[in-house]
Amino acid sequence: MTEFVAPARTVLTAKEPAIEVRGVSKRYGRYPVLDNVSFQVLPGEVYALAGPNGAGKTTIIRIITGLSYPTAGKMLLCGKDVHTGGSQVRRALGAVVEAPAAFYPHMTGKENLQAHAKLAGGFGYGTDLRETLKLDENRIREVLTLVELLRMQDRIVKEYSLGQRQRLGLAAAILTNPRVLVLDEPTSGLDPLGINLVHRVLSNMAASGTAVILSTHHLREVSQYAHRVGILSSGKLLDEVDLGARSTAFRFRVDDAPRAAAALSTQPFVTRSFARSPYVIAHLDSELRAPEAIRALAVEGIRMFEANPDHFDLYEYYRERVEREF
Amino acid sequence: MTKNWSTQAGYGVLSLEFKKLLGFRSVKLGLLVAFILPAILTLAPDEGIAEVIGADVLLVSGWQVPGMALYIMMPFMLPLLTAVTCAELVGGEMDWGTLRPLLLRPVSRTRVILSKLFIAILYPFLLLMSTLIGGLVIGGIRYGIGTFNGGTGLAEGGFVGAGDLSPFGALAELAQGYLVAGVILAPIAVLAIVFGVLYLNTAAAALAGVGVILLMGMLKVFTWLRPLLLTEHLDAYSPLRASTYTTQQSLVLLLIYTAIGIVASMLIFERKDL
Repeated sequence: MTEFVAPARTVLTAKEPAIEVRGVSKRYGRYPVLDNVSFQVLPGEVYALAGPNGAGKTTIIRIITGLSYPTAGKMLLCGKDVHTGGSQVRRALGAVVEAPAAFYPHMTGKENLQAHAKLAGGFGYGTDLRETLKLDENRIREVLTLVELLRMQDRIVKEYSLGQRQRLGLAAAILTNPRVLVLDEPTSGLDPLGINLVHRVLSNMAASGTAVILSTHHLREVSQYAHRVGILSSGKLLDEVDLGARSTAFRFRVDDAPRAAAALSTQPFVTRSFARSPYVIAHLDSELRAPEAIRALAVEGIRMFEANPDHFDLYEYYRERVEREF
Repeated sequence: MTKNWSTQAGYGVLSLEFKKLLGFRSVKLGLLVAFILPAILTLAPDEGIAEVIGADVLLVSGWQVPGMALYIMMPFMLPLLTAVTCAELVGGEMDWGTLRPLLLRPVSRTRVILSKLFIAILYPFLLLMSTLIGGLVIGGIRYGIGTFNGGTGLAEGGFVGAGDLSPFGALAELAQGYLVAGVILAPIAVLAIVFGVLYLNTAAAALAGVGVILLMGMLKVFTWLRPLLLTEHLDAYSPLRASTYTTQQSLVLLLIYTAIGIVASMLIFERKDL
């Protein structure tokens, strides 16, 4: 079992973007699927693409991976054009673009990963990017262990369940320890434990500096570990939500919520506070100010029973944003 | 280092393609049919075989069975088996969903399609080898494979031959005839790949491949078009053919068709949205 490492939000400084989508448009005949979409994903960042069915999520994923060609615009992976930069640009890439992930059904899970290792040229990226990672039996065992499929390695893929195939897809995607990880609906068909496992692996990859982009419908789930969410609708990028910037709200269960809100509003580190009985919600200028807020309530003689981060409800925001568009 | 990675990846694609080919149900079935059919054909009376082939046939040696089988299987069975499996090389991969993951690796599309083309061109030779071995096995059991008076059907003199033919001479005749047959099937294999890349669907590609062959068969009503029709050259392996073209002329045209197909499939695949 791999130790969980939280996504490193603080590493998102002025680095070169690992993924850069520049004004990408795509039309099928006269029908536009994507319209001038632009965004970037930095190393160490988890970027989730959300949107209703037909919004263009899969199309953008396929353009990012070089499988489809944009009608206009550019797609850069680690600074190189994925469509004109030659096949070596994809050396930095790990991806699952099918849901469930697709494998040769008559080959075992291990044989499929061996084939992927061969296709990758036998080497991936080491922990230090200047080193190479040998894609040998040990590495294959390592990724199979990570996705908890080691006991299934010698079974032909035809015998795998949907969830097992999905996890094998993730194993293939992270095999080379890629710098860019692209996943289309990675938790589709997974049980809660499988979903948790995917979250853990993606968080660890991001923590080690990999840029992760995924498309999803599971907004509440993804808001727990994504840094930013791009909302696509009708082929347009409607909004980008920075979840990191919204994570400094706290919720305190108190005996007198209106009085607690008034008390907190006088504190200089509280940017906004309001009562949502029996809770008081306080937006702080830093997560580190939470103990001070608790002290301030105690000083006012307000009894506090519980304190939690008040997670931004991405689903509600998304629903409101998409509905406004229609 | 990059070149080394690239070379390794290239070998990886080719060996994977070969492994995939052997995993196809159509290949297992095709090779089995190609192996068994000569045995079934030997049960037919010589007159019936002669009627179908359009030449005198008197089977007296195991060396004649592969030749007889080739005459009967080449007009339809072998092109059909070739077209279906070669269409599956691309279409089957789309059905499995494995074409996209393959192209996510640092392997160029050109290399992927060239590997498929190589395997597609190789496949008819595997089919022919299966027929040759199957024919020799059943022929050997029924008639023996010693020196005999007659011909294999694949050299001047046809099945009647010109005197005694040693096992070595018979094998050389069969090898040459079967090699030419393999070259004849190459454009059909490549055509199936072209349609596979175009439609990304096995059934559509196989149907289109077979459809084009049937269409070419019909187009021979335009006499001026005949020299260019693929179907007019499918019997180039036969010394008994009533054609006005020499084997060399036919082979050149078939190789040109193969080359055109290779270039077309590469160009289409390079810019195909997947």
